[in-house]
Amino acid sequence: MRQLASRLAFALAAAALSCPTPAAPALNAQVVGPDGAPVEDAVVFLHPVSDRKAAAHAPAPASIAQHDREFVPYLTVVQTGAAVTFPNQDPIQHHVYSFSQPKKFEIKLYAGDGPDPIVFDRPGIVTLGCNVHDWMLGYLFVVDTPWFGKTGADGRVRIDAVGDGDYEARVWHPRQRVEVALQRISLPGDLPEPLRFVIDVAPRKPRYKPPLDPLRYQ
Amino acid sequence: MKIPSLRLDSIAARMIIFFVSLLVLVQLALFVSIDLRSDQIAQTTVNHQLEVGERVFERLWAQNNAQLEQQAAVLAADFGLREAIASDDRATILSVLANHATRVGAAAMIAVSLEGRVLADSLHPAGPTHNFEFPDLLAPAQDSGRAASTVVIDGLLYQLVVVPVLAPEPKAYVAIGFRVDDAVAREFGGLTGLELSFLSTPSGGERTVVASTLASDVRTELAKTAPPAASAWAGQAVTLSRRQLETRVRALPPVANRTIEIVLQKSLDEAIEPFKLLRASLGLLGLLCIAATVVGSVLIARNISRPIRSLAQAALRIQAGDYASAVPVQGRGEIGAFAATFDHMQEAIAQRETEIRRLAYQDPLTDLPNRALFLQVLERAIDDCGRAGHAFSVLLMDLDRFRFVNDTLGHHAGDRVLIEVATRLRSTLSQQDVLARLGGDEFAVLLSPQQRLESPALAAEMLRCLQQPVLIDGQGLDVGVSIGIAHFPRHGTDAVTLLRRADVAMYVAKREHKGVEEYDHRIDRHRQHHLSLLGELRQAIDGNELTLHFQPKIDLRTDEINGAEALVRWVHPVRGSIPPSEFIPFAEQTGFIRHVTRWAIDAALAQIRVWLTMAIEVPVAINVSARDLSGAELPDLLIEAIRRHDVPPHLISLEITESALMEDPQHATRILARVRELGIGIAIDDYGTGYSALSYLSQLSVDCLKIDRSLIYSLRRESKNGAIIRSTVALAENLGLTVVAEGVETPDQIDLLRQFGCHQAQGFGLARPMPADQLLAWIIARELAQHSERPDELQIPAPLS
Repeated sequence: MRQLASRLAFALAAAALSCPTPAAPALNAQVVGPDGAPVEDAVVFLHPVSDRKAAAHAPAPASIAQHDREFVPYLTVVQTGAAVTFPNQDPIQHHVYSFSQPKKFEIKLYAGDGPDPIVFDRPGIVTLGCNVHDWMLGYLFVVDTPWFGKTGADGRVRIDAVGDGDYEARVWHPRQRVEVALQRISLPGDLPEPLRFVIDVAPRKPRYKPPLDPLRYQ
Repeated sequence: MKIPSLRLDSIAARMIIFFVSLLVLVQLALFVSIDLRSDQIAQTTVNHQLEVGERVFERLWAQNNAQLEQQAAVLAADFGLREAIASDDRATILSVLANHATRVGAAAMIAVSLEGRVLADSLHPAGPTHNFEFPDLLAPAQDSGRAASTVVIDGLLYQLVVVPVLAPEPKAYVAIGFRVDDAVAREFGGLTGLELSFLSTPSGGERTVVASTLASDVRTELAKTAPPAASAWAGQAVTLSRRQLETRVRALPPVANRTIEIVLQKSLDEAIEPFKLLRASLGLLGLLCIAATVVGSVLIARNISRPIRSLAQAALRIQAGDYASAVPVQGRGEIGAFAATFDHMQEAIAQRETEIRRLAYQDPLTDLPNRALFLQVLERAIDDCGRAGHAFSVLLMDLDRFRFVNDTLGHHAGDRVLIEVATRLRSTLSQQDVLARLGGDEFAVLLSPQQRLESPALAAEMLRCLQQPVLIDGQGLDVGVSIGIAHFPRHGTDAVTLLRRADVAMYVAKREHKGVEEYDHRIDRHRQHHLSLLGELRQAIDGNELTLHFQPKIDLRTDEINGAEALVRWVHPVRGSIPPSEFIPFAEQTGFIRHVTRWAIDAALAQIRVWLTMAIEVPVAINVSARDLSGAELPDLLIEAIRRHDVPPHLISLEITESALMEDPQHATRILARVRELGIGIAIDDYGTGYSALSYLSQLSVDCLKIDRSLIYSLRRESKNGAIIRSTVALAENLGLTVVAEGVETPDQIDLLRQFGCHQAQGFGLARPMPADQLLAWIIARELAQHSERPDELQIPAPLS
């Protein structure tokens, strides 16, 4: 219950942050699997085709918590240059690391909010792991565009404040089996339907997670 | 001791054959059954062991692999490894791989990219980048977090575990190889109790043994002999280096076109080995048993057969008459008891034989040797002395009047007399001399050569020792003896001849009252003559060769003829006339005299009858011998003859010698009494030669005495004989007996006899014996002469020539 509530809160906050100018039109996209089922946690992001810079947008910071020995949220998307904090909400310490190309780092065993936020200045996929809890897996997707969003459980995503112009729309999913081709779109075009992506995603593999020993940890 | 040779029919051989055959049969049966069963048991055992071993192996193998995978998984999760892999620095990765390999004891570690490229290989640190050799393992590793397989790298066997390196997503793979070498095989082999071999067969390549518990040469053979599909071996016995191996095969899933087979084997030979040992020890035991049986059989058999053999020898000895040696009693039990019994039997036989010998060769009354033994001794003496040229003497003797002792005093007294006589005779002899009782009252002495010359003296000594009366119940008995002597070799060179001649000599001694007589060839020639005559005497009676001559008896007072004595004459068809002295004594000895007497009675009575028919009564006296008196038929014989010839008994009289009467006086008395009852007269012949008392004779129914010619022969007026005759006549007259003088030859004798009062006379001086017709003539002539009253001119007829 609490998990749901916090997710909702973050989603609202993120939505609020990504709407600098209410005047700019928003883009609706839908990501489904080959079977038509909605795909959650798919990242949809846009790159303008013209050399019009989108640098005007400052990257928003992000926070990836360790809660109940899981990365929360499972997937986080940030713009390059964003500072990300890794607050530890568990009563035990975690050792967060990543060997991904965009950013290799580790935060050795710590509790609480941990050290200073880490700035991710190169785009790419950062896989997050905990050295002491092998099942913990999280993704940080660093994109070099201010227009991005990730699908919810219904497979839909809304990207706001997208100016008029031509864009290349891309989709990515941590468990995607093949890369999906980008789609060129023009805004404000007459998009009768939300932008639709079909992506083949492997099911999330459950990893063994030992039960928490209440006597020791709480 | 000589070991007895084993003959097939000996007890030992039979025992050995039986027991050894039995043992061999049992052993063979045992061997065959063990042989039949051992393979089966071994096979079953091996199969069972193999089955169990296989299960154990499977379990161990799985456990081992799981453990390796676990180790690999743990290793793969190591942060340092993740970091190194992430570093993309080959040198770093290699060093970490080497480091971590030592942590878990892995022999090989290979880092593989997610795309299947080898990032680093501890086995080939400097090798070029290439694709991972076992890509098939990657996907399963990805899917299930680990994948394992048994693979061959560079010809060596590894248990290869592939695990993804999570960072935290799979970043790469790490393949960790654990060596499966001979040590591992030995370890598994030790745990499962099996021979373990890993065969590697690349597709189209040659099969090799990559790890094994087997010796190197055997594994080569194994690789060569394995069929293309080694699983075809399953459940079979494979022969390797002459070892039988029960085999099972497990084929692992092929990896990289290579098949790994695990060959599990259990040696059948090892399972059979105990049975071989068993067989060997049984065989050894069997041989020992056979040896022990042979030795034991020989020993037992010897213990049986040796006593039996010695018993058999003892039996042979006993058969040969040797009872002196004791029967060897060996051992206890039946044989010992048998031997003891045998010994007792020998003693009993010896005792009985001694007794039999004693009975056969010894006179039970006097304990002297008997006739049989004496003959043996005599024959031996003849042999010995004949060879040595020595001489010796045989003395034969019998007791005078012994029959009288027996009859008057009983056989008991007679026996005592014999014992006493034997004792006395023995006392006169030396040890070397042999005294024997030949039977009845007959004794014999074999004088040793040294004694020969003294034999007459010794005989005299014997006579002397018997002069002393033998005391029987306080009554002294005079025992006389007559001894005949024969000398070896002068009188004979064989026992029969010697004894016969001694007997002849003894007979002469007895007859002539000489006591002792040595054999003289002359007597015997005489005797031979008689003996041959005797044989012809039977013929004589049947063939009418005998005739009676009659010698008249003259009454000395009236000069009348009183009668005649019938004398038997034998006119032999070849020899002519044979005088009675030549055949009568021997006829008496043989008993043939009875026939002669019977004939004489018959002839005499017939003659009386003839004369009676001529109206002449001539009383006839017939001589009767001792033999005639010994039977009871004489009276009946006379009665029958009197009846037949119708002769008045008073014309008949019998003449009996004194000695004949004395042989069995009681019997003679009875017989004569019956004769006398018939009215027949009885005269004592040869009176004066014996010892009979006149008073005794008078008790017999005798009515006449005939004085022996020996007394008459030297009759002189003043001589001793004259006195005897005179007193005899006087006594006889008092007893009512008639006295007849025999052998009267001269007129002087007739005169003297007449003066002495002698009643009658007989002899050549009066008349010779003559045939019956001559007697008649003689009587008539004498009658005529007397009637002419010129008795001086009486013509005495000339004797018949």
